[in-house]
Amino acid sequence: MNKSAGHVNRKFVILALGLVGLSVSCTEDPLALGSDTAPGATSEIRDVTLEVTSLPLWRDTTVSGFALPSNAPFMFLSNDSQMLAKGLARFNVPDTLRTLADTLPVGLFDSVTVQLTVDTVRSVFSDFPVTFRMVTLAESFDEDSEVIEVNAGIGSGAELATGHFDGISDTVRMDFAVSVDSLLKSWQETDGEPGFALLVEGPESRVRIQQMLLRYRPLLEGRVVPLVPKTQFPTSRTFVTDPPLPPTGQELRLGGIPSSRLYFEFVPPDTVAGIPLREATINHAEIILHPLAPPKDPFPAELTFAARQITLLGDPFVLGPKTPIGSGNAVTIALNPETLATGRPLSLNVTLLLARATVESVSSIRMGLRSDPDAQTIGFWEFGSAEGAEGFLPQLRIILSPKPPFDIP
Amino acid sequence: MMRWVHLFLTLMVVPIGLSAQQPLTSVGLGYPVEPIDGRSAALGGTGIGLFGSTYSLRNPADLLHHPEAGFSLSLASEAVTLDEDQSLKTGRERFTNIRALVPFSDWAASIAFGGVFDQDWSARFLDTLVLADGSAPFEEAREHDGGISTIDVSLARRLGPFGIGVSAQRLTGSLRQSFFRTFELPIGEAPLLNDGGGMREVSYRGWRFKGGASINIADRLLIGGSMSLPTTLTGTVQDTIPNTTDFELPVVYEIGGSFRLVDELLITAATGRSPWADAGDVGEYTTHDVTWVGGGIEFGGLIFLGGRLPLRFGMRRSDLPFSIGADSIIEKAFTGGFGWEFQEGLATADLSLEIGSRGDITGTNIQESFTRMILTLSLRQRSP
Repeated sequence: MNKSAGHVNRKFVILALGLVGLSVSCTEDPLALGSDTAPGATSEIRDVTLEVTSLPLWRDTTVSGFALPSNAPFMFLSNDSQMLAKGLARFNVPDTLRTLADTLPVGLFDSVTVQLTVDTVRSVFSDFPVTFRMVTLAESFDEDSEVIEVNAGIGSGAELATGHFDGISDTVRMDFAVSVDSLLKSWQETDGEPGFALLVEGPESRVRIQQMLLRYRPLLEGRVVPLVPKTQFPTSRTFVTDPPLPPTGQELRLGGIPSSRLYFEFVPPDTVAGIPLREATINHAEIILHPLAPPKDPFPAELTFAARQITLLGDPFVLGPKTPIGSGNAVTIALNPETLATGRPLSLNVTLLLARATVESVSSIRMGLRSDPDAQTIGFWEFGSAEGAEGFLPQLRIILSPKPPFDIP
Repeated sequence: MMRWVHLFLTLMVVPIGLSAQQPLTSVGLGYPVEPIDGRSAALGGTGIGLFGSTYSLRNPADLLHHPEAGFSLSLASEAVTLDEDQSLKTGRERFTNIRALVPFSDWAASIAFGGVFDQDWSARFLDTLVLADGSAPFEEAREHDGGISTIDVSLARRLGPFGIGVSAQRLTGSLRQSFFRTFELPIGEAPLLNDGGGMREVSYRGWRFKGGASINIADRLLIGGSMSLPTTLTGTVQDTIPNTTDFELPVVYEIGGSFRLVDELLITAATGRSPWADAGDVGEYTTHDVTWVGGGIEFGGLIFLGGRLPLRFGMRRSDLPFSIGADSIIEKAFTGGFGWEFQEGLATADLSLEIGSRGDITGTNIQESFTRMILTLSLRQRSP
């Protein structure tokens, strides 16, 4: 009898525990109701656009000089009526060359050519063929100088080499009109000084030279068979334009060479449309920049170029060394000159920055916009700044949802 | 001063919803959950003064009708159709009570967990936010998850044919309210919008005390009644600055009984009243006095696989305490079910089925039809 009772007790406990476990299931299937009929908290979305002059703080500026012609990824040549541009370069030819066995001086430079690779996608030709000419420079040039007189040192320099580009191939071979052995040995002695100029002549053209190579076949002293052809890049190169890039003004300038960046600092308002920003969900926030009319020829950006938002690690409005920059957005923004010319605004997404700033009580938000990479275009585009004309002032657009008001019960 | 260049907002509703329908669990303090078992539910929701014992929490004196220690759990599952132009179906599951009890000498005691208000509901819908430069479809989810329950401790004493009992009930519960909006890829030039939402928790606390009595007349007629005192339920919002709201819970009177016509045939009836209107409105919702009445009949003459298989039928009608407008919501249902006893009644399963409706769309803006099933599993300890 007792055994039976104990058996029932065990079953009793096991079943009781199982039932208690079941009891936690208390659920409700969701209903598909309309927004105006569903009960519970909701949150009305607001879309507000503020002119930046209404913000507690807004500062904007253009900072230039991040890429010079000497470190642009191309050499720019032009002979059109709007702009003249010439390349300057020098080759420092080595005194000796190393072989498997030893290192010997060069006795003779043979089969010397200069090979140009033209960026035909980003170059503009009115007709073919065009002629490239290398002429001697009378003076040396400093490739790191921001301002080089376009005719500096060229004078009536002697022609060194010429090449013709017919548009069929991207490669132009320039053949020398002087004794190549003497020329290269003189470059050996002077470390390439003073250098040479590269000009485009013939039909009006704007040419990007992607690569310039000196090719030669050296015969080492004491040897009878020349080495295999050698190639080398210019030891220094740059280009000069006429007219030079105009100085920056109140407008916000992006792109160009030397490359210009936009830096901003602003403090968001505490409330937007009566909604405390700190409590709201920032669904979207963007800075709207209004493009100005195209810059005066020849400086409108000639190509679509890419830009990237960057974070700033310092105060860009303090005089001193350049402001260190942080990481950039993963997504690049494409700036198309044709679109910009229509006045279509440029949007910079600052949702994350604004959301973090409101949560972390950051006093001000700093950010920048750079062309990435720098020096994609000779030209640039300008946007209205806070000091600019009415109608072109930057704006801050915020789409936000207030904190949902939950009621008891 | 801020200068608003433009302020633009339009919410375009995709017409998948209804014009004014709400689930009842969203009204007032929620849908009242009667802490009754499957047998009581099948007999018209009575559960007071019921021969053959009940695990319902209506009357503490009814504890005395359990000859042995026992444990039960009652789980309710309900399919609900919101009736209007376009029917919407939902479902609810809740447990109505869990109870453990033990008789000793002329005394009996129990501890139980019972439902009071069910506040569970959730709704999802699709909308489109129309902006100046495009539109952004989104899905919105609103959800209330929780409710109010009671932990009941009861004690009863037999005095000859009479029984008296008292219970102390700790009202407790929590409600998590949430709202989430998820944006899909924008259309046109509209920007991609971040999702957003929020949530909040409310906790409920309160006490309720109840007294009850019953009389057994010649094992043919059993009558019981109970009354709970008015009390206050406090809701506290769990926020950075907690705030509280008090809700008055009115007195509840309930009386019922059962009569054994013959050994295998039992009839039962019960009624109750609670002046909720005196407690004041709950937020935007109107409160109404509640009167409920129910009754049923049980035939216990069937045997299935060696165990008793009592059949039950009944019906009930009840006012609900909260409504959206001036009219009260009335719930009516036909009830039925059966029980099945194993091991000479040591284990019992009672299943009830209720088919009914609540509200009237023209008068109360709410109309639901429902089918509810309550399954009670109970165990008794064998007497030595």
